[in-house]
Amino acid sequence: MNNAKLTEQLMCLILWCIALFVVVVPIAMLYELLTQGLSHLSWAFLFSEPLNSGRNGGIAPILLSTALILMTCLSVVIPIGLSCALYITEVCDRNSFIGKWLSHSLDILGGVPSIVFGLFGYVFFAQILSLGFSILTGGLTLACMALPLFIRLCEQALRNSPVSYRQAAQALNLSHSGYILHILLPSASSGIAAATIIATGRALAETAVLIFTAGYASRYPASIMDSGRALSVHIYDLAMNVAGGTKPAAATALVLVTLLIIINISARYFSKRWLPR
Amino acid sequence: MRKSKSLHLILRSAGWCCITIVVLIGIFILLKSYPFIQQMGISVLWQDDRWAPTQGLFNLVPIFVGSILVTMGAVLVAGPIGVLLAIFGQFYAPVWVAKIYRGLIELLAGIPSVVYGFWGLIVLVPIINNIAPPGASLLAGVIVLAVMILPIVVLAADSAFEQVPEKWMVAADALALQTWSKVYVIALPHAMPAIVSGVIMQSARALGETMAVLMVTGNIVQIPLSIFEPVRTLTANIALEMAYATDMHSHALFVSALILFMLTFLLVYLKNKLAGLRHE
Amino acid sequence: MVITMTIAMVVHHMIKNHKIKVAKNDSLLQPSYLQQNDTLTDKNKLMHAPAVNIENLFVSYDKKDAIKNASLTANPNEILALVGPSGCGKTSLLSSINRMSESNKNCQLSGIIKLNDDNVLSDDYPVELLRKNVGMVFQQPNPFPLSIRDNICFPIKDHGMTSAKHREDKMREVLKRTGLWDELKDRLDQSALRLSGGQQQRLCIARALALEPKVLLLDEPCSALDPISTQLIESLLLELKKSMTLIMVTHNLAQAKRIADQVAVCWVNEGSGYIVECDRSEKIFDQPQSPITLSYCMGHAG
Repeated sequence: MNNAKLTEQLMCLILWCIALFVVVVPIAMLYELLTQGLSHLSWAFLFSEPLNSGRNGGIAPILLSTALILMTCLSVVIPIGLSCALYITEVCDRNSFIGKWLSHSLDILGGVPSIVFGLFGYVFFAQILSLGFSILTGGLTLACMALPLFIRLCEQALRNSPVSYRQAAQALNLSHSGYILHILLPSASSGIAAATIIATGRALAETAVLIFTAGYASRYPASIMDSGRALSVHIYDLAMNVAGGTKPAAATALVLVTLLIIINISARYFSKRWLPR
Repeated sequence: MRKSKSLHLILRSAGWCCITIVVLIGIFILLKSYPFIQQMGISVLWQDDRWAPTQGLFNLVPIFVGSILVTMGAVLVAGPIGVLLAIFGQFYAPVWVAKIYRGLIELLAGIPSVVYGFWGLIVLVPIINNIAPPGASLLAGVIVLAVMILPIVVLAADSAFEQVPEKWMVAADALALQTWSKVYVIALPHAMPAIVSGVIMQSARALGETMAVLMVTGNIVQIPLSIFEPVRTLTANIALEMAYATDMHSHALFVSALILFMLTFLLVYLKNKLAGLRHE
Repeated sequence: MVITMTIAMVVHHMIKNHKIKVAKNDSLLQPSYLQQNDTLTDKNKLMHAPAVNIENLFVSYDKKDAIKNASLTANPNEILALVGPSGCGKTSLLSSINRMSESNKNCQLSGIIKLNDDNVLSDDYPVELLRKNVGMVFQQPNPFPLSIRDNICFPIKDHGMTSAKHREDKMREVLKRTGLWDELKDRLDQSALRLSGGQQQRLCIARALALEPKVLLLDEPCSALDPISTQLIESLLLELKKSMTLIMVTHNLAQAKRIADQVAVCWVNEGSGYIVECDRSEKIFDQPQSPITLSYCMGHAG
């Protein structure tokens, strides 16, 4: 018979098997999370404080801390990241000293392992800048981590803006700042929104960094200078350090995954709005 | 367009800010590792008896080997499977299946490593424990990491396959060639550079992963003799010991962070070199 | 529990897959290759140039009609040229003959296309056999990113020719037929992408010929080529028609006049194409029936 035909039949079989198997893995994961955690989930869970090292009670202060950390992070990432992206696309000369260094730096920054960021945050923000274990430290360190991804995505969004807008602005001799603020940014806005959402998703997933910077405190944070525990850290703590913490950990994991799914879907929605251009 | 000096200044400072951050990270890691290198020298890292920092012994080799084994294992598993899955989605699956598949993969790509680690802990480790105790092992680490990097490998391979010129696929269809033949002989070689690039990036990520390996590899400092034995990775080591490390211990941990940093840097450099070669 | 589920799904899919493969693939039901001869003969393969009959063909993409109610006949051992302005569905018509139009999921086909007496659009006619009987050459030359040798040998190996010697012989035969043998015999292992446009297109024709089709479809094969290459290919086509039926889409009326035996003129009406007239080439150019044909051939329109 035909070798090519036989190979084809074999590969077809193998591929379908692998595909099915790989679908099974996330389903199994989800199943496990649901069986362990669903019983623990309730409105009370979302709104009350953890008791008994988290075995009972809820995750309200943790949700709050997570939100605060995210907000701190975004309030740094968006201005600096967007400015940097604008700098790259609008101002800077690719071949100049700063142009090359910037692109190398962003490459390196994107490749640094998260634990190294954690250490850096610990040393620089917590110790040298005396911010201690706090939400602020955590947020700032996360911002450093999220910058490369955010900048790259914003860069894409900005470059996707129609060239015709720029040509019209040049023909009308508009000021560069006018063009950027009133024409470029609005036209790239959904791409930038998508970038923000994706960066948020990335930040939410971080654990190692936060252990070293934002700390472990599971009570309501008094301010952003106070220590706070993020969702991912809580899952880790319950899973590894607390006997019998499996159920609440699973419940928290469900909350986290749900949040991420929502984020993923909204990022998709915003991306679709600028892609067809 | 008319230049806007003030805006340009603001934007330029943002650029400098980013560069500063990287420089700062580099400086601090170096500063904190330097005392160790100065006082103890680097040969202790492989000459000392074992890793027992409280007793002044700093042999990092088993931990280093742990990192390398877990990463390599994950890449060897996730690489081929990821490519095969991408082939499945692009060439074999009916359109609606491919769409669902892609959605699933994109979703999986966003799940935090903690959740993967958690699943590994409550499902995988007990299963492995039934086969060969203790369960928390190199194998568990490899599987969890592989599952973690798989989605992005699939996405990278998928976009590599999309770049294959349509006209070759059309010619292959007109000649009624078998699908696997057209993939293996025509599409795969063309997509390979981009796939390798994606795999290298993901191996950098696997190398730097902390939480998932921390939760499932058992964290015992040893060079494993079988895949069922526990290991400790550089990342997990830092995470576990940093909190209570003092003086030389702490500096030693920074040295291991430096090693990680350099390894990652090497991988990124490799990837860029490959990409550069391809464009010639 | 999870494991049993997986196994069940896998087994179910194996069965489904196997059934589809068996139904679609004629070659699995009957031994398709006479192994003693190790050639590409197939008991259902055409041995002589057939008549290609198209009856009431409708092709639409996404509910928009590309061509409506097309009917024409290409006679054995003749060249039929499809001419007409852009957008009148010529390529859609052509690619329906070897069912390449089906690659587009939104494509709807209805009607009958017959090779002698067999309707190739029916579900009983295996697509793989169809593509062995009907070869296709495209507008942009598209050799594979392989060596010149492999461009020919890979497809025939894929179709079951196991002997390397036979493959070499076949390759030599088709390269000689397309006039490439003398030019390329010393560099068969070089990449095909390095050839000139004209050479690439002739290589694509050689590649198509390697499967021994009895019908050859050509979609504006010379439009991307220089006049010398065009001339080479035109004389090749005249040579080829002695053993097969050729159907060619062309924009170039002079070309149709030079080499076609029959010409079908297509036009557009309300966004979809249709065939205005189909007749012997002399009649179309000298005594056209339809005013559209007349004005198109005179260059007044299209």
